[in-house]
Amino acid sequence: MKRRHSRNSHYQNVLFEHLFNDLHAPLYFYALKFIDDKEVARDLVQDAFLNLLSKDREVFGIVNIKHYLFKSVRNNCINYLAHLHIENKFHEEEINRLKRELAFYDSHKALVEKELYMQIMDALHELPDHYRIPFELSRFENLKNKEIAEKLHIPVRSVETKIYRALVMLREKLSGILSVIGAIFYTACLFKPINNVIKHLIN
Amino acid sequence: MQIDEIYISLIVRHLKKEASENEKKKLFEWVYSHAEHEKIYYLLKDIWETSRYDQVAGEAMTASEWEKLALKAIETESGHYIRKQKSIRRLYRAVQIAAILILAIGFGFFLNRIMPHKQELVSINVPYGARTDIELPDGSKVWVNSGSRLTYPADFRGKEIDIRLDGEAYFDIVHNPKRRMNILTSSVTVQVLGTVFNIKSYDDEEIFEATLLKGLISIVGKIGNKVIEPVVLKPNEQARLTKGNTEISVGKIEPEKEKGGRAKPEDHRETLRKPSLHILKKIDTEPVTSWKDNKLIFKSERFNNLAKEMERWYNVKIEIQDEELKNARYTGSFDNETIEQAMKALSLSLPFSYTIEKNRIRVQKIN
Repeated sequence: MKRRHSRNSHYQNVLFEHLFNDLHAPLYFYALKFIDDKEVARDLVQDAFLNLLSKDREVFGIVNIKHYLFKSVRNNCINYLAHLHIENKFHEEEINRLKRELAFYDSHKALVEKELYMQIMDALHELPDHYRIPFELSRFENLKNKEIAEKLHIPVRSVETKIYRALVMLREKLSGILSVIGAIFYTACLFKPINNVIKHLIN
Repeated sequence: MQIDEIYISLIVRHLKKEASENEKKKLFEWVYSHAEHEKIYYLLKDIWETSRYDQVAGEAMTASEWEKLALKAIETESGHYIRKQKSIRRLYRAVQIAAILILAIGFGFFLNRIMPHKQELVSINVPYGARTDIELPDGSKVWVNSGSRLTYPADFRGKEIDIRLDGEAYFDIVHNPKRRMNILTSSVTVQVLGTVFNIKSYDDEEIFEATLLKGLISIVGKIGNKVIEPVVLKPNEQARLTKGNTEISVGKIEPEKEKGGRAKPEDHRETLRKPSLHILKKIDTEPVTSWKDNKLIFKSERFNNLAKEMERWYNVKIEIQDEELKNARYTGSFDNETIEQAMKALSLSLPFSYTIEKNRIRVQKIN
């Protein structure tokens, strides 16, 4: 009995490390959506994992553990923002916006999977150059709208519109995949082999 | 959905963190004005952010975070374990104590139930030649005379307290209206509230004497087989009871019976058959109670009775071999005299000869 338990707990530990390696970055990315501070975001993710450890992991299915972790990080973010709210009145408006966004992600899934990022990248390459280039300059070169406008010899307002259009197009391209991914969202990315299968399927 | 150019511009500027506070305010007024606006904004923001997922997620520092987590996990796990072990041990101890307490209380109740009247008793035995005074648990004082035994409960709980007396004792009882004290003797019982009184009731003597100095006492019980009416004594009154309840004791103590003694045998017999209780009023209490102050005072006392007192007082055995001497009366007092001095004094007022041989004294009439 004891042996079985220890083997079981060993299995649990291996599984937990797997979970951590696969989900830490997405969770961190998720937390950063709402929390500006990288250190804080990392701590909030840590807390979510510690919280999971204190629970009896056996009662969760693997699918639910992922769900649980995202929820946990989300709650940690809300608590942190509430805490900020008390400490600093100055950012009240900003904090309320973030809280509202957090509430939105209660019913909508955030694009935090590496695979989705790949999809975005693939979709980006398919965009016409006059949308793609302003977007890439803005996002990857960190150029200001004004700088892009100067570089491409177009009005600033036009740069903004092009970036916006690029975003909408990427979103549209992704939404086709998102409905498929939505169904397998939870099981995705837990084990690399499965993820690869999904990736191939999507491709 | 058609979106106004101005908001397109604001969205992009905000995502690029180029928007001013005013612009932000304007943007979010629009965003929050419609659920669809809000949704579009979030979806576009999501795409915007995720497009740099690789770069951002690369800063997650998963490896070092894992080490941190592992350390913390070990800490908390062991903390949990230790706390758990401690609480289990504490619980175990608590259960042990509780079990012992429950057993003890249960046993106590059980004992109480099967032996509700069994109380711890204290017994004082005063040998011949000695006197003592004690304090009862309630602060009352009792002087116990020679050759007496006093038995009382170790603690005075309850409404009635029974004290058993064989012999003579002088009681100074603290007044307590909430309880009644009963002095049980071989014959009658004396009920006390709070008073000062002397009781003389040696089991091997036919006389019971209760003398009241202060307060009130009542005497209840049986004389022979008859239940007597309760007799209430007032200060300076003495109740004298001649027990004479069994034929055996009648025969045995016959020689030293009533005052009439040998002179009136018929009378004597009658008294034996009918135990009686007399109440003497306005008596001099000093000779009755002087013993507690280490004085033997006697007034017009028959030598026979005095000898009995002296036997206990000095722890000797006095044998009077002449009937006339037995009925001779003495008045006087002994204080610190030795038995030799006492006998010498007695033999001066009434001529007799005596021999002292260890503890045995023989008194003979001088011919």
